Amino acid sequence: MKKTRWIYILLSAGLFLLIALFELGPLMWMGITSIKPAGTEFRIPMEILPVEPTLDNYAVVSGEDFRIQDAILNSLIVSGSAMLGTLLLSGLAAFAMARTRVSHKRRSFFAIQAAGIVPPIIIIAPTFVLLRSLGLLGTLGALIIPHMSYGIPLATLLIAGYFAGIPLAIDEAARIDGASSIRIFFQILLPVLKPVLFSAGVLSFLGSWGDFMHAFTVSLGLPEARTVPVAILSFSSAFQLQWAWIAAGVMLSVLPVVVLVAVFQRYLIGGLTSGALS
Amino acid sequence: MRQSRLRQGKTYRNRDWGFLIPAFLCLGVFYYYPFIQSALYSFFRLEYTTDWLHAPFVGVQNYVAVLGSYEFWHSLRFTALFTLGAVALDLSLGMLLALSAYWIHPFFKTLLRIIIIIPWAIPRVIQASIWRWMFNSDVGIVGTLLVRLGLAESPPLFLGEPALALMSVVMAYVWKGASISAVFLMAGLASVPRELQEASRIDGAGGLRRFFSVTVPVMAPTIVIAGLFRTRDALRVFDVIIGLTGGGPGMATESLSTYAYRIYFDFNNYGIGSAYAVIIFIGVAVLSGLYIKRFLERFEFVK
Amino acid sequence: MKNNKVMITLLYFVSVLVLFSFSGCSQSESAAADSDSNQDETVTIGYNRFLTQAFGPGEVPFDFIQAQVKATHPNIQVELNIMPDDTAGMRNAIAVWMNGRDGTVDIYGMDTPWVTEFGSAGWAVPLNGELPEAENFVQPGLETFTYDGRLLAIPFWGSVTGLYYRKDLLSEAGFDEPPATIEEMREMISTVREQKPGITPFVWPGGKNEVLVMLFSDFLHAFGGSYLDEKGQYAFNSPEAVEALEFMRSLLEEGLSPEEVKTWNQQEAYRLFVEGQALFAWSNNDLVLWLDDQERSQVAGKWGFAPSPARPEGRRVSITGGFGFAVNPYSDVPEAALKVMNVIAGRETQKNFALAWGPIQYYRGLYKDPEVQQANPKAERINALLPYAISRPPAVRYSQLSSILQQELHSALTGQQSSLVALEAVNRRAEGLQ
Repeated sequence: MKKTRWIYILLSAGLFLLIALFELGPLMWMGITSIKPAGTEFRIPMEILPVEPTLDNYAVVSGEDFRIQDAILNSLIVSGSAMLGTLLLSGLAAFAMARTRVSHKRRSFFAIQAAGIVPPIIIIAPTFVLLRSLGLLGTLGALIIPHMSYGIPLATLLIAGYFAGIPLAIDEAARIDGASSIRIFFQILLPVLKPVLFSAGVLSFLGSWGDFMHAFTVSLGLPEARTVPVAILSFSSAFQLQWAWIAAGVMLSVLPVVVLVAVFQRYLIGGLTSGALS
Repeated sequence: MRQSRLRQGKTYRNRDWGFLIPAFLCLGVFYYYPFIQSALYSFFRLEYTTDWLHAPFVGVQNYVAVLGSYEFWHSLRFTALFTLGAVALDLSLGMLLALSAYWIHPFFKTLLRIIIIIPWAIPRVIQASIWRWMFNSDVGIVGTLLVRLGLAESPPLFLGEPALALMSVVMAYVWKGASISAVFLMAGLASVPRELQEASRIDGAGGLRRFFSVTVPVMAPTIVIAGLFRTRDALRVFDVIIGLTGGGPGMATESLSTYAYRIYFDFNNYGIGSAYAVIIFIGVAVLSGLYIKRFLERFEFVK
Repeated sequence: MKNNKVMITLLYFVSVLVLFSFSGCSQSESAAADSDSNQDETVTIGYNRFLTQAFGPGEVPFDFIQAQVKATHPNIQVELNIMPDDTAGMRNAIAVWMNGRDGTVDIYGMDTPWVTEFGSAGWAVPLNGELPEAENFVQPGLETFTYDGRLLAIPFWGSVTGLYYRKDLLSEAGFDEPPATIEEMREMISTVREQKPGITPFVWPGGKNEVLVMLFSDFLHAFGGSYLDEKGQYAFNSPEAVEALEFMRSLLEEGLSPEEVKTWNQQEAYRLFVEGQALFAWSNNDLVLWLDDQERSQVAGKWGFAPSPARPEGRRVSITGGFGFAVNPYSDVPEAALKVMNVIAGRETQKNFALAWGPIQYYRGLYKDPEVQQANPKAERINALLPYAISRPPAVRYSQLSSILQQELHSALTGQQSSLVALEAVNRRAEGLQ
């Protein structure tokens, strides 16, 4: 008995290390690259571990020229706001389709999902023009509102699916008591929806965080409107991509999302469990 | 009483479509409108300008040009092959990861799940940069390790040789994709009732047999759905390719999306680029339509 | 129920119409050119990070421009909008702005191959007669940026390509002059290799980008080919062109160039030469500025720069490059922008570019300026190549042609198709792009 338990622990540890290496290896390598003095990462023969580790790259990346912390802040604002907006709008829409008596439910649902299939390139140019006429170019608003919209299809799918796991009785009871739909949604269902709101929230946050094409086009190159992906790809000096800087930028920017994932991982999986997947 | 309920019924039926309006408004402005506008472009000859009001109307000429071009079929073929390979790997690796998270000693469980999810949280462009650096033929860690372990004489040209480039692109894509599949599959695994597992164990079925005869069938819907999501994603692969190989070497890794992007931005041919994008949309829509239909069937919306 | 449906559809169509009118309408809000010199105006220059760096004794170009403008037009502020480093990225950004009629950037950098495209698309304000300083430029410089009689940009930096060679290694092996023919080059390589087996014979940028097009253009002419045939059609599939491409492939097959060249961009390609491990390198004149700087180069004092060799029946050529500044037609401060342009075209600014970036300038007489000569002691090496200079393949839609060339050339280099098939494909796909 004891022996099998020890084997189990040992195997688990081995498996854990293997997976950790595979999943985190690239990040670890970026971390190592980020503490090499800029320019030495190209030395041949290559040194795997830095001979003179330094935090200079982090200084450069947070310094005057690049200010990645601004980009991180921008990304947080954009993705956070977009996430909240998406959750609100998708929640309302999913509620309407799953729990009320509106007409054309199937068509509405289909229409919402169809929007999510559109390839991003096809909407870049007209969106740019539209944002220009609204005067939003070069501001964070040009990212928040579109990102909010882009997250709606997936979030609606998840939330609507989750509704299937919530007994109708809850609604019915409230309606008999005379509650309006608005009341039912906000006061009664919202708390129950927490798991899927977390998972849909994380997904839309990450979706917005990772967007590059739109963010790049719309930022007009202005630093105050730059998000993380755009900023990181701009780390180069005159001669070539400065990988040490990029590595430092990547490590810094990955931190918030890793924290996010660590905190919300339970909800992420829990919220996906019912509905959309089975 | 009855009357008020009836009237109640009528009231909230009329007003509740208000819940849908905000979502549709946003979608309308940022999805439908640009899409329709772009689709409109596809019927005109638009080069270097998007002013379709003053451009010659060419009907379906752009579509004919696209469907008749060698590049379209070439990138379609690449995309199809890529999708098949990537999704298969995604699901297999994802399944392995999900099972590991399920089986592993509780001490490691939470940490392992976090580790598995982390690649998902990394933006695609950054993921592309990371792998490009790792596959660098001069100082990339992958090449260097291969040489130091004696598996290769000199660092292979991961991004320069056609066959290797394909593998590299798939590898970089699957690294993140496996995590996404794993999350879906973990959720699916969690919903496999424990009793079923116990029942078959009592019946004497061994671990592997148990897996294939009990777990997989119960998880089949989840696997299918995860597969559809990954397929839809893989068909639109863009960032990884642009970041790693730029479509090269030659045209070896040019996907539908990257080529459409090229037409839009390098050639500034908005007419043909839009036709291209619409064709991609139709292709992906057909596939997604399957899933949406299935979803609608499973869920009886309140009548 | 019917009312709802009608209302929703109506609401949707109304909003769509409103939006259409927003974007369809051109800029009715485009500000009238403010010639009131009491108002402070901001002119934004769009260029990549290079503008904030000086490679020679001159001042940082952007700072210099700012200071000059301040001195001559105190009410105009100049700002820099940093664009992507690579030319493709810059071009994409410009294309998006032009299509969106965006006026955020008033002055932007234009690469020489874009002139025909931008000209035909109307993406630059014609400068004829608007800039008094333009009179002081030599004709060839202005012609590079002229389309259909309209001057689109003022040049501020030019480049030519050529062959870098190790003078010391060659003279040790008994050669006094750089190779004039391909055969001579091969001979030199094998002789030097006997003495120094570890040396890499020839490095060049064979990665899939714009530089590859320039490289191929060079060899195309070296083997006797040309861009167009007598009928004015593209001649990329001529036997000479195939020979040129085959030559490039043979360099790889015979081990005269390392396999990595297939992935190298310009900077990666010259690294081995700068570190003293290569005999020949093909690149542009950027290196001339600092190859003698002992801190950055291992080959100080041991190198030379010459036009690339050619077959006897071919031509030695040098491919030109360069950038100019153009004015955005959608700028909201066009008059101020033109004033800034005149400053950029002025002698002082051009001289600073010569001191900071390199000696190929088009301002008359600048190369005789003692300071310029002192800062560019190797200028005569670069000037020696000017007679061989030709531009890249002509095309109205150059970026499309370049994209096609890059794809097909690179796929032939990486062995995915034969040279003949690749070049036939180029000709077929490029039809009608002139």
